Amino acid sequence: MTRVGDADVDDDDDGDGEALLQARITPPSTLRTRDLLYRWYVAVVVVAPVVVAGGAQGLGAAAALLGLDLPVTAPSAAGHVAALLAAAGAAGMIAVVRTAAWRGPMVLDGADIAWLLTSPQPRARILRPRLTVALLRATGWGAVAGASAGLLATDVLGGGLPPAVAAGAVAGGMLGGTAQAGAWWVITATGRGRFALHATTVAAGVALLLAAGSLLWPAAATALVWSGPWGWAATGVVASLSGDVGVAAAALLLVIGAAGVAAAMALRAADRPPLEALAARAGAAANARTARFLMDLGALTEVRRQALDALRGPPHLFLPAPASAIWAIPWRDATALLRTPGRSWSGVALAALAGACAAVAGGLVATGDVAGATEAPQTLARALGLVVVAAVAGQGSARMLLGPLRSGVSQPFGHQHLPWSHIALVQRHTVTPVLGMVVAGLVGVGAATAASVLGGPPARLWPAAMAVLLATPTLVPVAAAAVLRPPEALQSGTMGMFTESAALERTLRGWPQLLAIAAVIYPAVTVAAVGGQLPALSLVAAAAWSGITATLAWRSLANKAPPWEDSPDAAPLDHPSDQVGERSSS
Amino acid sequence: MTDEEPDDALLRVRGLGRRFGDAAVLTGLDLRVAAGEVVALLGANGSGKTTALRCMAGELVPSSGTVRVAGADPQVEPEAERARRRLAFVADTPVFYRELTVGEHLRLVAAAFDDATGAKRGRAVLEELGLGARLRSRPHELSSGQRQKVLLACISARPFDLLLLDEPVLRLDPASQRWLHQLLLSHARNGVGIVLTTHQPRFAEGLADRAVCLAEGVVVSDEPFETFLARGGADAIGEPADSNLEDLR
Repeated sequence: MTRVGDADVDDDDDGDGEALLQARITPPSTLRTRDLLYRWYVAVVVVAPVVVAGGAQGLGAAAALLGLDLPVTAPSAAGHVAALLAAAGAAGMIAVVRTAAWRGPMVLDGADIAWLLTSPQPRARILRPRLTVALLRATGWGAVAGASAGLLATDVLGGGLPPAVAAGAVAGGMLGGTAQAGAWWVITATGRGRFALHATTVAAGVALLLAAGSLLWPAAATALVWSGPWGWAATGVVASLSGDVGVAAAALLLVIGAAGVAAAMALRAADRPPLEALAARAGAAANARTARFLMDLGALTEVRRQALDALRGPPHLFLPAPASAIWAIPWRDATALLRTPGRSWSGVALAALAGACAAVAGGLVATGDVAGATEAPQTLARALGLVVVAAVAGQGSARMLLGPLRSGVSQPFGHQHLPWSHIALVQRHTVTPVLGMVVAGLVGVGAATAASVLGGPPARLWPAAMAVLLATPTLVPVAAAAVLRPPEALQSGTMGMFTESAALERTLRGWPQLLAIAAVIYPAVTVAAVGGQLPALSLVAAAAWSGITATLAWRSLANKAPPWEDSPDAAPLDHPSDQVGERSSS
Repeated sequence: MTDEEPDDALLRVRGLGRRFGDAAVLTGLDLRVAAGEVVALLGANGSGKTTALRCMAGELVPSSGTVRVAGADPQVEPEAERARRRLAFVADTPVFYRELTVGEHLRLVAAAFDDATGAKRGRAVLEELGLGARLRSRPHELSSGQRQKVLLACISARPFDLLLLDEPVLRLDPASQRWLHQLLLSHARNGVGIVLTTHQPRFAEGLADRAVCLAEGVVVSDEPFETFLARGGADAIGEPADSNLEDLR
């Protein structure tokens, strides 16, 4: 075969080309010693101690609330812990598989997809080494997580630490490898991503039901523990604590066997993933990495949502279109939330968490009644901690429900084709979140009232719901101002144009959240105190304070320039997330 | 004529300039578009056509000069809302809400402009363009050409007096280009003022009244479209001023 320009190509050039190709085929930085050491440093020195310490604190708090002494010696405790560990293992595996559905079990470089995978090289030669690295990495992370779980299980049940940690490391590592192999299966054919999304939703529901049922019925715990590798792994850890070597060994052998089979099947199918699947996930992973670097959780959520959106089928639920322009944007937002139920439920759940934390914080300050803390500084510290959690959760709730606004900002359809000014459009986008949070608060107030009428204890439900109602008018505009980021932020990131200081600067732009915290503190404290028979004047004062903070927040939002004017010297860029899952031009 | 003097033009642009950093992309653009008038804004890549349109649409803040749409400034509220109700802008890259279907986009636009029959008109346009069966698709599931057609349908679902189009035929098949040509003619006959940019000047033949040519952000000619074609202007766009084709060959 004659090649164009054969006469001009010398042997040295061919050798360089072969070396370059070989260098690209070899898995890149992931195998470099520096990166490997750094990852292990993060896993072993930072993450594991934080998880263990935080878990121990959480266990202590939970035990104090339940009136239990640790370690628990009740005969049924081992079964409960095994079921809990099995549910946690299943949740971890589900998370790995779902993540693979949108960003892939391993991250490929876009250039490798465009140049390497389209070359005549056998695809297995290129992908198998990377898959091996991904399996090993998942096994390592799983081992760290499993060892941490073993450590925490020792806290609860007592028993020997070394065998529990060792069993946890083996079981967790194998579960990690199995999950990663399953994640590979997800991308080996078109349509499996969608199947994985539906199947893992069902699996998560079943695991949740079995875990909840195991508290009441031992049969549910047994079913969960023997339902798959997650249960075998949990059995291995718990059996090692009780010194039941035979059961522990059998369970761990089952887990190791399952991991071996899964890994072998994945490696055999190393060349199966279609180029399209790899390319779409590489794009999503690149955008997600940028969002993480920018510390922009909202952007990360948006990238994930859009990538998942591409996997889902056409919508089946529709809302009747409004007849009046007033309701056009709220209708658009409600439709968007209807099609992203995870975002809606997360918003409601975070609002409930915010209300609960605010109410408990208020109760602490009003009564000074805190388990084990009789000194004022401790009480105040715990109350402030809860208030911060409440403010963050409240902001999170508002941001979840403001997701359609974020989409609207980054995809300026509304700006181009709707008649309203930018700020009028933003204000219209706040209607649905405000209504959603107010309805959630009113449902809480109604439930508390009904419980009171029926003679039941309303506990802190009433102050929690009132705290949500009082904080909503401030939380929503503050969150709206925070989500109005320049649409080029993500693009800049993928183009390598950002710096660490820029990321920090963008994060610091969230200063109005301090206002949200202030908005939550006073109403929470006062309302909780009202729950403790303080005069209605306090409620009026709380409402007045909320009115002041809300006014300031709305004024701040009204003065906020459109995000594309943040950098007046920069030409507007299209949002890169538009490209996720989109068809190519035809 | 000063700003204070009455002007029945749908679009009045005076001394429009826009800089990006140190680069002056557009300098001193003057333009007047009357009802029913069609102006083709022509020029090579980077000559400032899109920047000019985006400034006219209120999407970019001019560095200098003024833009008035039916006497309203598209940058300053509440005048800007009045301007947006009169003008429709078809950008070169159609952008949609990901969560909404094609049909829902039509209903959203119609509802936003309180146009009771807008969605019906938009659906009719989709039928004509062969997309009647894609009402329940989401725009990102369509090809870029189909998205361009959806955008044209969205524009049809609302009233407007001034239409700004940036490269409207870039992704359209020949039949759709002919359809768009007829649609724009029909709008112009009904008194809609139109400004369009294109790299295919032949598309504007029989449609545009004037050709305004830009080079490096400056107007180099403003003449009747027939004159522009007759002097071979369509073939000269994008050629370096001092190019010697023989040398290049």
